[in-house]
Amino acid sequence: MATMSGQARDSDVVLAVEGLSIHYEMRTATVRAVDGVDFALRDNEVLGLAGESGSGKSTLALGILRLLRAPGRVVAGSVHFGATDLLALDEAALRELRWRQFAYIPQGSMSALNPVMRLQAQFADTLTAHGERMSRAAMHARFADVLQGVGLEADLLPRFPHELSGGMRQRVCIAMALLLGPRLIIADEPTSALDVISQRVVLETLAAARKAIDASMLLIGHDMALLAQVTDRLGIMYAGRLVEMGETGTLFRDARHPYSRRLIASVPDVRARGVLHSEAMDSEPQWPLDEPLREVAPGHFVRPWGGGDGL
Amino acid sequence: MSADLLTLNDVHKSFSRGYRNRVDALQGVSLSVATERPQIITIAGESGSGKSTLGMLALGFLSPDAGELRFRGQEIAGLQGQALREFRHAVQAIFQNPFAAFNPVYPVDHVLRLTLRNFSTGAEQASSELRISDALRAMHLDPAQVLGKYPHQLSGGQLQRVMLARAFLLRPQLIIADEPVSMIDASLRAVVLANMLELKERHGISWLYITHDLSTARQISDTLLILYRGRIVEAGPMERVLDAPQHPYTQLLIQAIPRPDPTQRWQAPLDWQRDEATVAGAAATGGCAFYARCPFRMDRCLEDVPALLATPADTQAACFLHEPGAARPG
Repeated sequence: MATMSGQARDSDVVLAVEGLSIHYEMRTATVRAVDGVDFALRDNEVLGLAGESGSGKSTLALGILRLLRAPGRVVAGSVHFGATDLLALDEAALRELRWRQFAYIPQGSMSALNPVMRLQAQFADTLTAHGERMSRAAMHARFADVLQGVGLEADLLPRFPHELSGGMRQRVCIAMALLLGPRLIIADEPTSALDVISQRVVLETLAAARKAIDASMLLIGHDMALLAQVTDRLGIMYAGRLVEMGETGTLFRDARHPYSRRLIASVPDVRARGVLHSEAMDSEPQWPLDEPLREVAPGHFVRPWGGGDGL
Repeated sequence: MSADLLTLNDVHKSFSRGYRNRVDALQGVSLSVATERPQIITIAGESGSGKSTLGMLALGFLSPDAGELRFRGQEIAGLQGQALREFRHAVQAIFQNPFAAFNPVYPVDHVLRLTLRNFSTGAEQASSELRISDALRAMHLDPAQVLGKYPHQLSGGQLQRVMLARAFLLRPQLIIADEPVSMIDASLRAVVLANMLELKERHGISWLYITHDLSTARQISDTLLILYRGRIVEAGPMERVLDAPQHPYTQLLIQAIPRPDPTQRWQAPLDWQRDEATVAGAAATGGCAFYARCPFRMDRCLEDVPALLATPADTQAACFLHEPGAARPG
């Protein structure tokens, strides 16, 4: 049987996650936020991870980035960035990789900008914190270049964050994430705090900027319509597990797992009135999650739930 | 005086936030909810459009700075005694966060019983348990699975449907719902929308549905009003507004909405004015608030905004492009 982790040894894999489990261990209970997740992100690929609140998708991102805080803890599995075992790195080595090799764009990252520093000073900080030394003129040229990459002008550099709209601030954060030309971008709901128009502008910007530097991207979100727009492949998370993964087109056309089907069917389309079902499932259906993922077609993995077709 | 259930006529509302900091939340908004034919009227706008202020005004929780706000022809601010009671009975509210709408120390039944106690006669109260069960069943909730449960034991979708049941208990004529599904996970959202539609179709209840999400508006609305920075910029039958938007803001907004279909991806980047930051202040005084982003902006848009003008799509749009004789792009 082909497994997804088997791909991890392919040379074009940028990020390989195998059997990753992350628990929040509290005095009275243990929450298995992420439970045996496997996937491989290929070079120059945009992989989406979709899930609703509590599915474990953000915890997964934090685990990969080694940004988990107690009581969250990786209890099993491995994360490889190229040939490097991320979970085994010491802090100094990790620091070398962060930003230079992989960048993180969290939800509402625009509020992480320092309100009392001009943008150029924050850009300069990012460079020096990661050991880049260059002349002022070279720095300015670099900043202007990354700002242009997100559709902004260099004349914003002397401005303060409050002088920019939310969408512009989020684009500044993207520019900052791309400042050192990372190979991997992990973006967790990068547009969720924005208005619809800014959301499209920011997501288009992020997609184009990623393409320009040939980076790979893990895009985490709950909005299936946004994920449909920009991802190559899509994984569906439910209760800490991947229940299905495949090409984005395949999943939207031919999702197999009942949870994936429900998630995709529930997204309203502004162009068409769908069928609304008022008969809700009062008790959330529970699907067995312990069977290993099965490859039902090349690259299309489904977790058997005891339904039809041997799944 | 018209016999409309609820009318807003040229309503203005500003908020002061300290010295010299005034937000004009609504700048002359008019709409009416008819008594005879139940309708879902959607008020759609982005953050800062004034849509929640509009909801609070319509509920009588805020009073307008200027303009009229009437319930069955009477000024809401002047309602007293029995007339106020009737207003509070006939117009119900649903809010965004169902987790915050319940008192966490009581089972969810509490709010249902309280509502009946506050609004019904002694004779009606005798049958209150039956009425509560009926209202829950009308929302397709199983009373046995809901009654006695504490808020944290139910999902956001279930809690919001208990809130719909609470509103329905009083058989209102109008429910004002401010983002009722935005905090509910997508897979449960459709159920709440379906419940809203059923309340209109089976029970003749009208809705003011306040939302930022035009995709959900498509699923249930009859009439759609697009609000931008305190003004209605476009209004009309929902299908007309969404399928043939006439105001440049509505056009941009609809183009920006992602479709849940990987075969219908965005092709070219969105066409908008990218010098937004440099002209943002330009239209601050009396001009069109959309000037900074508008692909069709003209100099006169800096000075004035037209009233809602009839468009070829049988909608109304507040844009000079629809003045009789204006050359219309595209």
